[in-house]
Amino acid sequence: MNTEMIKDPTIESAFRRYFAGLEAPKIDLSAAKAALAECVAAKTRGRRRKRVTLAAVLSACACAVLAVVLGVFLLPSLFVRRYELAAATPRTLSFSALKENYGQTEYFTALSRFSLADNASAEYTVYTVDGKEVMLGADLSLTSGMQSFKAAVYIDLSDGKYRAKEMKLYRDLPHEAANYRYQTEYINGEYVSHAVIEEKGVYAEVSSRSESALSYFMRMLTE
Amino acid sequence: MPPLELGQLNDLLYALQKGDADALDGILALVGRRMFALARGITHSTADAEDVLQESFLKIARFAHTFKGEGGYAWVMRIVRNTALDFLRRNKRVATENLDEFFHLTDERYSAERRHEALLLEEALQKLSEEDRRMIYYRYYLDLTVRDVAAETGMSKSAAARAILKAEENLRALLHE
Repeated sequence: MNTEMIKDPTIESAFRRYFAGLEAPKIDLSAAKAALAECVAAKTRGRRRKRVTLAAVLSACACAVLAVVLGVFLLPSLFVRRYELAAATPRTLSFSALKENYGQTEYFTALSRFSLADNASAEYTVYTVDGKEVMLGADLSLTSGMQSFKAAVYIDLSDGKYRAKEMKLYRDLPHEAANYRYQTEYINGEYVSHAVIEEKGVYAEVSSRSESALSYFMRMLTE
Repeated sequence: MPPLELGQLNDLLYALQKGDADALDGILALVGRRMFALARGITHSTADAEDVLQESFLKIARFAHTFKGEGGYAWVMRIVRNTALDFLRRNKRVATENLDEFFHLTDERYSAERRHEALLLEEALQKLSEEDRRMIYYRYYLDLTVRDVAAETGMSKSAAARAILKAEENLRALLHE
């Protein structure tokens, strides 16, 4: 049952007449229409890519079965181990532990900015599966006049040998930036973006009231 | 907005999701004035408000696929609000909503026939307390639900509902004077 409070009809009517007295704004919608066409085209490309992928899988099915049989018995080390991040063993890391254990990794400098800045915060977690450290997670936030956002970043530590099932949502992100793929949605007043740097096993979710937060964050992460 | 128009706006947003570019014209015709009023109130400038609207329509086109449910008007107005505040930040201006600047639409290009009634509404709004005006702004400009108002202000839902009712009662009394 919808129990939402109803607006006052007298006031609603007064505002309707108030806004109606304004001259209609002069807005050129051509750029917006072009953007809409681009979004539709990107979605169509994504659907076509999935159809092509499906056709390729079906046509290669027999070979795949044979390869699996051979692989299972002869080459187990080539197969990616899928796991659930939620079921992996988490261990919280301090910044000094992060520095000691992962100070040489590619993204350490970027992550450390969040730990060292006054207007930012960071919490780090390492996830272990089968006794191996497979994923580094970082919950980050930045508060500033120009850019404020929260971000959750996951960095694969297993060189692709372990793959978290939760990262499936990062497959087929429709848009391309310079060195990552992404998708942005507008949910409850915030821009929520998912981005992936596939070859590096880096996955990020960024939430902000500012649309440019994703590109700002990804520049911070990759510069 | 009356329920019929709210329904029309939701339909336009769903048409946009299917790639119907004419739906953008429909949205401009249906709620363009309200969007402008909000942008003008935040930026205090007609030219800036038009820029904000331009940018807002770009975002509506790009993010239409994320719209779900029935709150199309609130969804559109949130885009305008956030775009306007971002605009102020990018131009190194203080990004706040100064309600003193909001209720001066008659300073813009305004219908001569409706001007007298509009001035009465503006006068009434300016006589309200700051809190009452803010509640009216949240409900009648942004179309926020009671829950949204509570989240926005840090009040409990019941306190937000009471504040809204008080603001409405005070405004009604001023309009009937």
